[in-house]
Amino acid sequence: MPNSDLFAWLVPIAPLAGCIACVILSFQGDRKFAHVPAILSLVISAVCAIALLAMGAPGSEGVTYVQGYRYLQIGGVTLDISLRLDSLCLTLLAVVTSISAMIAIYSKDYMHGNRGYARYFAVFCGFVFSMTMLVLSHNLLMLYAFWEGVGTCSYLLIGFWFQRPSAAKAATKAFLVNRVADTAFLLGILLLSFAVGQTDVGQGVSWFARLDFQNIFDSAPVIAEKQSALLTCICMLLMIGAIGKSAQFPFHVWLPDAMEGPTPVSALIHAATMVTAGVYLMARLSPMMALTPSVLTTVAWLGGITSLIAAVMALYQDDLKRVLAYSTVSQLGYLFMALGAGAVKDLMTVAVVAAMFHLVTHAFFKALLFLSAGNVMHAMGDVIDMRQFGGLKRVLPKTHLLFGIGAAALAGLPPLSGFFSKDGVLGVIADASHDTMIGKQFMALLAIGFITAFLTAIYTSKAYFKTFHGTEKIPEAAGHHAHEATGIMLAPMAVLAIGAIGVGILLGPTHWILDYITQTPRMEHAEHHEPLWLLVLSALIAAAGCFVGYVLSKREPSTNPVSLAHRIADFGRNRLYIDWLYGVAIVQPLEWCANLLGWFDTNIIAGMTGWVANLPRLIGMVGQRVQTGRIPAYSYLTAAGIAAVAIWIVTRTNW
Amino acid sequence: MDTLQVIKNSAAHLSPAIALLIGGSLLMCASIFFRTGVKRDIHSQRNLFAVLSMTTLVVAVLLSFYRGTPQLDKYDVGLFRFDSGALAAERLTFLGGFILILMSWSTAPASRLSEYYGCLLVMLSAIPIVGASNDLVSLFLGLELLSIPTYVMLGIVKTDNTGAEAALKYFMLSAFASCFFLLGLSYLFGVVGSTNLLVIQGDYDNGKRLMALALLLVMCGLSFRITAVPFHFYAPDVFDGTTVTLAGVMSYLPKVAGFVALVRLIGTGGLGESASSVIIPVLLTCAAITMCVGNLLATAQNNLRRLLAYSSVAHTGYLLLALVALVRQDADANVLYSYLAAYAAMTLGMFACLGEIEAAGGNSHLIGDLTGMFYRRPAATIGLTVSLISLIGLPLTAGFWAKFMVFAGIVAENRPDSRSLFMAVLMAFNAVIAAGYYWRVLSTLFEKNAAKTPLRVFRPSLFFAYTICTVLTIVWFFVPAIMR
Repeated sequence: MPNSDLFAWLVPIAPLAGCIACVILSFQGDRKFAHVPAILSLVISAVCAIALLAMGAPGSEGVTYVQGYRYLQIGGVTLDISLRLDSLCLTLLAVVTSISAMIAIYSKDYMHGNRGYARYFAVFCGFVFSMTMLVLSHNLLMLYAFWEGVGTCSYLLIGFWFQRPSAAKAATKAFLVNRVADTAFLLGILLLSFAVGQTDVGQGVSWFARLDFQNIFDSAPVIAEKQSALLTCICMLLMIGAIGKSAQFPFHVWLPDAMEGPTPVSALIHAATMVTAGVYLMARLSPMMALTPSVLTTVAWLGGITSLIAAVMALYQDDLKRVLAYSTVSQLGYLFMALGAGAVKDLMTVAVVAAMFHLVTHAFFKALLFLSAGNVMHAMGDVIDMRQFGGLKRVLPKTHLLFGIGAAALAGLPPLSGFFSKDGVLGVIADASHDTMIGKQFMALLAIGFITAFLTAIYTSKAYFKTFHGTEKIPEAAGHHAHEATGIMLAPMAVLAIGAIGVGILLGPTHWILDYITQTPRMEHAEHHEPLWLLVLSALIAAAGCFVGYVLSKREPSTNPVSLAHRIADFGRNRLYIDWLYGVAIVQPLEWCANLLGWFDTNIIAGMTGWVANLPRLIGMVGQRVQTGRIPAYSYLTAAGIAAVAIWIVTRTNW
Repeated sequence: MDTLQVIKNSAAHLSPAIALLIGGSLLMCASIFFRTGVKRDIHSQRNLFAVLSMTTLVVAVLLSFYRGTPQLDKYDVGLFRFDSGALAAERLTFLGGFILILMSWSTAPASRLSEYYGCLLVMLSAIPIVGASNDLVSLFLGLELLSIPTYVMLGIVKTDNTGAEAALKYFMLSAFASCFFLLGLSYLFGVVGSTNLLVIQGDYDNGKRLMALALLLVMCGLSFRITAVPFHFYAPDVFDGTTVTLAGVMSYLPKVAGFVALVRLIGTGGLGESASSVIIPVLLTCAAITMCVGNLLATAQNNLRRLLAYSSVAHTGYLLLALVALVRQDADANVLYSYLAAYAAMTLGMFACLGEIEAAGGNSHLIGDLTGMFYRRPAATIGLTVSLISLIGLPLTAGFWAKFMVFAGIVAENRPDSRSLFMAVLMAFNAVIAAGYYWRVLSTLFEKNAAKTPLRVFRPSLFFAYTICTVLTIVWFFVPAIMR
């Protein structure tokens, strides 16, 4: 394959170079041209990723390893940094790099004039570097390293306006919630390394090489046969890591707060790419996950619950960005539901394809929606509360159109991309419901899927009509210059809009994505029949939902505090009291413990360590007396030292 | 093979060292013809001599590429032997020489440029000679080739009182140490009856009590070069009394020469039982005492130069442990050399930063002088920060791998004995103590200071020197394979 190695390495290295350039620029104060290296490097990265896709880089065997370099060799442990190319990772890679390039271009004007302009682009490029390396990893531990890398970048970008207490708090929340999940992930990795070491595959292989995906897949059937409980435990732990990053119940609480970051970041990291890392992890490990149906059923239920409750919460949000955030959580729930359908025998590959398909289309239309919300926010003087503005159709005509496309795709109106991919997800769940053993559960999940689809259409159209239609209302903060976004902001959005319209019909009905992803080794045997009634039903549901949403957007919310509708609204607005429950049940007891330990630390430990810390200094001061500065003294001491050692050696040696 | 052929081949392989030696001698001779002084255009003179020295170094590097890979084990009988250790010594010389010449570019004493660079090049030529020596005579010759220019360099400015004191102290104590060294060499010759190092090494296990004493004396003599306790006394006084650049020279070149000589003397071919019962305990004891003394005395310092001197002593302790791992064949063959390379990058980088701060009009003698340096001279402070983090041994810097490899070497799988474990624990304790005083310097750099006058004088050579060191320190963390 000519030059595929070079292209493969350029994909992560270009953003890294851009990151370093921006870091250097940020030291020079806020330079106005920090976007140049960033956009350039991201475009290079995107071009290379698409070139890899186009030239069929995985080759005839479906997977190619691109050698990097041997990072380290300590004893028997060698750490090789190399890349794994197959069709699964290239699919995600192309999406990540192209969307990030678009959003970087958008950010040029959106972030213009912000303090920390260079810092923003530095972390942005750092994120793309980590994400591409995560996707290209050949080894689970390497994946974990970059998993933490994207987490760090996410933390830095959520807290980009760190002077704002709410942003700092949101960043901390995201960090801590992810930490809990990542701990489980790490434990899963360590256990897996141990388990692989028990098998024939892992004999004589160092713990790092054992975590190679190839070795994991080779040994997983053996582990499943001999120690099925252990494998279930491992998969459960890895699954917890995945749902943490992808903000699934019960870890979903961090994502809505993460909207404190700049809007392009919300579009890129918290909608299109990073949060799908969990889905990618599950898809990557699907040959192993397929051996543990119980874990996958759990995944399906968690995904179902998440998608439903997030849709309910989205229904009652007044903040446009939060509506989109909850909708992201809900759509990610869809992806996990689809993955969970792999619990049924021989359905894993179809499930992965359905999830990846929805992931791709979702990345396009959700990024588009966030950027449109960013335009609204930009024009409204950073006001994002839908009660304070309305009827912006005339003020923001182009944004109105773009948001409309994104919203229609999200609602699942045919023939936009969301319709086909959502249908794929529901189709695979419908397939799973034919199973004799656990079909009943998937029947229930299918119902949840339809309800969620209905709710999605409602809140999407409600947000759309409230923002852009009705009587024109512009908040004070916008001043008199509420204006449409600049061309540089709109151009990448147009590209995303084309994706949001066309990707679904291009990849879905033609079976392109199915044929492509099944080229990945161990992902063959995909047979999938989409029933026609499903297509018709979901189209009807989407249309009905949109109509209900339109009606709701016209109605004033009921003011009667005792009415049932008001109570439900209150429930939804307070995020179903899940955050409150966490505060009472987890955070407060931990704080009490922390206060107790803190007292112990300041009053007892600190005093003791203070003494210990001063001890070397005291000894040193005494020892300094010897350093008189006089040569005779030095010579005597030296001679005495030699004499002592000589006597010791000569008397003890038995020569 | 006849003697003439041996000499020819040796000369070919030693050509980098010979080039450096000739270049140094020529530069020194230039002082006869070349009037230096305040009346002349000092900048062009500085540039001239620095460029000449750099050219000599480049020629030496090119020669080392073009002479071809030495055929190992072929010249066992001659004065010199070429193996991987000799090559490593040469590369360490090039690395250190490159940075030291850059550091000297604007800091060399204006009135004595030709002598200064002449001495520096001769010192640089000494290390490959020591590294390739296969005979007691050539070993001693190489070491003296290093120390005599050192005396000259330390006392090069005759009007400087503290410099003169440092030079005199160094001279007297060095002579004192050389006595032990020579006494040991003569005993070795007396016991074995040959001056060839391979012959002597073959005789280590023949069980003579006098051999133990001879080895001990030789090791003591070399301890002076590497500033191991109890030969460390001169270090703080000399570092304190001389310029920043010369402190950098003193912290690096003699140390490399001393360790290379120790490796030459002990050999890496594995020791017999009775030889290791002498050498290993001495090295371990010396390492333990050196680490503790260096770190404990450094904690008590407020004087940055003395602190760095003691830190150099402490690193000798770690290096001695690396030497033990190397001699016992527990670690990679490059454990000692990669530590020295990392040490070069971090220590010379540190001195280059301090040199730039001084050249820009700041003061760096006491730790307190650096208060708020980040706001006055950010670039140099970042260099200092990286060097200090590397000296502590934290990840993202070469210092981490260097320390890690020593740890891994000293508690290798086939060494279950409690002494090695104890050494590792002691080293860990020392690393913690060291982190304390390095951190004190580090936090001082970022303290807010009332006097915030930025230092604006820019010295490109010093800037390049510490930029190279900083980049190397970080790159070596990510690509440790090239740290050889």
